[in-house]
Amino acid sequence: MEYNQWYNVVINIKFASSNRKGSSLMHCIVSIIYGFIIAFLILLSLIYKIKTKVIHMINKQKGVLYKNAILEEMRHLKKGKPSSTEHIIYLQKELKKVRNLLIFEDVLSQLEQEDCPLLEEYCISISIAFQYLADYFRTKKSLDKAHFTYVLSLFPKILQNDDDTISYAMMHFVLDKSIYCRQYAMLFFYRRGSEKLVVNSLKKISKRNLYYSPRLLVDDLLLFNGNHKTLVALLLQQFDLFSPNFQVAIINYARFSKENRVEEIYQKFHSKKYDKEVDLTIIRYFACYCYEPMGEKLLQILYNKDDYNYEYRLVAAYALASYDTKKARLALIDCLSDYNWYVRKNAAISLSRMTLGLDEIRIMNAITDPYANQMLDYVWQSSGKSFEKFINATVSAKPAKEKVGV
Amino acid sequence: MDLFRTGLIVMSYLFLLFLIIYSIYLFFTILIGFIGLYRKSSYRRLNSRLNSDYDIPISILITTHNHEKVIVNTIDNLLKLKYKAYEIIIVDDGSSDKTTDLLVRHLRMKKINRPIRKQLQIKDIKEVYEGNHDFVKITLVKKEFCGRIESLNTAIDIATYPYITCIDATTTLAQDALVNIVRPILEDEEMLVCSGSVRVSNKNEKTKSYFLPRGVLSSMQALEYNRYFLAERRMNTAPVVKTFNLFKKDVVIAIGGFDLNSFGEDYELILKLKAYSKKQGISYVSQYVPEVVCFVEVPNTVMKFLHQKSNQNRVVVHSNLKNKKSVWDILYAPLSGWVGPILELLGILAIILACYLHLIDVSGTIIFLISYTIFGAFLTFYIFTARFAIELETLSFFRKISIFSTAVLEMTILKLLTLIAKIFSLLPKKSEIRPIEKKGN
Repeated sequence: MEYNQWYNVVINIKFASSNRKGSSLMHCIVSIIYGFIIAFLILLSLIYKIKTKVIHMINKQKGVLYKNAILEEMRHLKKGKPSSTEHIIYLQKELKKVRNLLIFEDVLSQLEQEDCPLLEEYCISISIAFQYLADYFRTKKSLDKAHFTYVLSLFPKILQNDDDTISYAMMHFVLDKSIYCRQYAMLFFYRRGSEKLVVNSLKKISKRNLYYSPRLLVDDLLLFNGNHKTLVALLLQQFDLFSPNFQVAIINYARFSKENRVEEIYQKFHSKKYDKEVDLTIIRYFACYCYEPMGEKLLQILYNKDDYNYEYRLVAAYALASYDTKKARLALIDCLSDYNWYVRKNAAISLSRMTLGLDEIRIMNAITDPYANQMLDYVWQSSGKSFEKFINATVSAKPAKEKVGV
Repeated sequence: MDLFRTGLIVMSYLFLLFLIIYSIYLFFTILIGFIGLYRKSSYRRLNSRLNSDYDIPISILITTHNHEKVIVNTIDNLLKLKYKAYEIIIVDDGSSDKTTDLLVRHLRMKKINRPIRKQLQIKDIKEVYEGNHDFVKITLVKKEFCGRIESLNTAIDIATYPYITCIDATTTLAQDALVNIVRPILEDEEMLVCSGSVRVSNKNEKTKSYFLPRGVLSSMQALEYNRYFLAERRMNTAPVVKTFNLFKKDVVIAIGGFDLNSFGEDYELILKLKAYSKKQGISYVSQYVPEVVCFVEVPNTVMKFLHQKSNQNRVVVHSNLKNKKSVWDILYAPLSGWVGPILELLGILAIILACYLHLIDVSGTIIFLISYTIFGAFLTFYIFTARFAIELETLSFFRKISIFSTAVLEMTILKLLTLIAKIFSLLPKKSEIRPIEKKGN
């Protein structure tokens, strides 16, 4: 633009700004808008507060109504009569709303805390209502489904048999996108104690590649209310149908539920067809359950550095602590000079737990590798002893045929 | 002269426009924050199950330098956490006071020759002590003074668990902090970073309460923290306050830990992780956990506040420039960290001068500024008290007035101090600025 044109722009801005009424009006408009927004927010929070108080009051009254209805029904059951149709229809109508469902859950939880003797019978009697609700909630949004499965998981006795509508609906809930829905549906199965339902649901989740944290899965499996032995057997039988994450969890479950299935699990390791994480979990399993063929395998792992990477060797070094044989001790002593820090550490820890022979101690004493010595020193110190003193005490002692411990 | 006056008028109006835009931004973030709080309350019952308190082992890393007054309390607090699989690693960065002696005595630790697997660039360690307290392993490392960053890297090298979190010696964690922060990892094992919110707590106040701490400056900062974590954070803006994060250790080691040229803040590490993920073609997975997990002390004097804020600004600019991933990253840092504060200062000066010279309508401007301040203060007050509303707690009228007044001060004085701090941050940094020596109370 030319100079004259710029000058005109400057004059126009100056004129506009000196138009006080105009700018004052603009400021007032903005201030009024701010005022309206503040008023709107205050109104919003007032409405929220009133709504919450009203809902709270309604919930309280509803709770009382539900409790009376449940107690009435329990009196009915006590007389040996079947559950009344009116009560079932009442529940089917009321519990469609999540809010009412949670109030119902509160009432039942309260009765459970009061050790109500007829609670279990009552849960069985209202199974029909929940079958209807299970079907109803299948088409609802994830948060509603999650609340439904949450309530059911607290009262698994509602499920009468493994093939009814509830278990069919729960099989869909375990595949929901919401982790809450999946978790509570699985919790329902674990608490129900049905091996068949647990295995089938886990297979479905695994097949769909839905994420189920292996750690959480092991925790949950340990909550299983039924026969752990049967469940472990079923899971191992269908082992190949699960993804590696699940396979890891199954082995850990077998380990933590103290199920000795050494031959079966050894065969899996021997087959060499599973994921590295599964192999490592199996090795850890054999740290708890000694099995001679596996002991030999662990030694092979330690010696064959080309065939097995450091992860296998470090877990094998850890597991060998349970195989207190001369061959194992010598293999671990050899591992003290491994190039991998973790292998050295686990070897030292395992040795500290074993009963060492005099000749083995002499070999350890003769190690010149400073990293090995440092690791031994640290491991012995961690158990409150000095490695040097230990060596001196045992080496200078009269040769004895008995073995000495740490 | 005309040009100067016109320039003043233009600058004034542009600044007023900026204030309007900022207030709109604040309004939307507060609204989103409120909706988020409301939604979170719907998940309250469901969250009770997804707590697995002994499955994701965590290493808590603490660096300390002359914190003898507070370190024992901090460790005692950490030992009370409701979690079973964690360890504590303390690195004493060349303290000249009795920090190490106090800890060794209090925790009954023993000196040990622990071999350290050095995966990051760290200098030699003087002494290592180990102790056990109710199955919580505690490791204390004594080093020559080498700075916070190297201390953090040392702690990372010593950590044995797969997830790490770095806190200060004056930080307090909520008892269920670790339980809450690992929850996203249960949903997705590929999670690289889990972030939690931070609240201000000075003078050992009740950490469960949502009330403001004592001291005007601390209260203003508490409101700022609250607004950031409940509202502004959702817009993915750079943090203006301290943050609390849980990192996956092997990835942190893969990126070389904290840069020695950095400030040792989590934000830098997060940007580094994002850049690394993009380079490696792996997805950067992170999640934010809105439950409060961490309580920090904030500066209670103006000088310390200015020092901290200018440091934070340097962190943001420096980190964004260093880990730039796009054109936006290249522009964002200098714009927000350098050019922004200067323009803001010029805008304020322009308004004052324009009013003085009666170039703009004085009364209208004053009315606007007052209404803007009240609006901003109200929004801050609103999101702070929304938490109470949703949890059905009531606040007395006096307390509400007190919070609102603090919010007004926060919108004026604290913002001004922050601006001054940002201007200070433009000055060249002399040496590594240690975090403000929080002596604790």
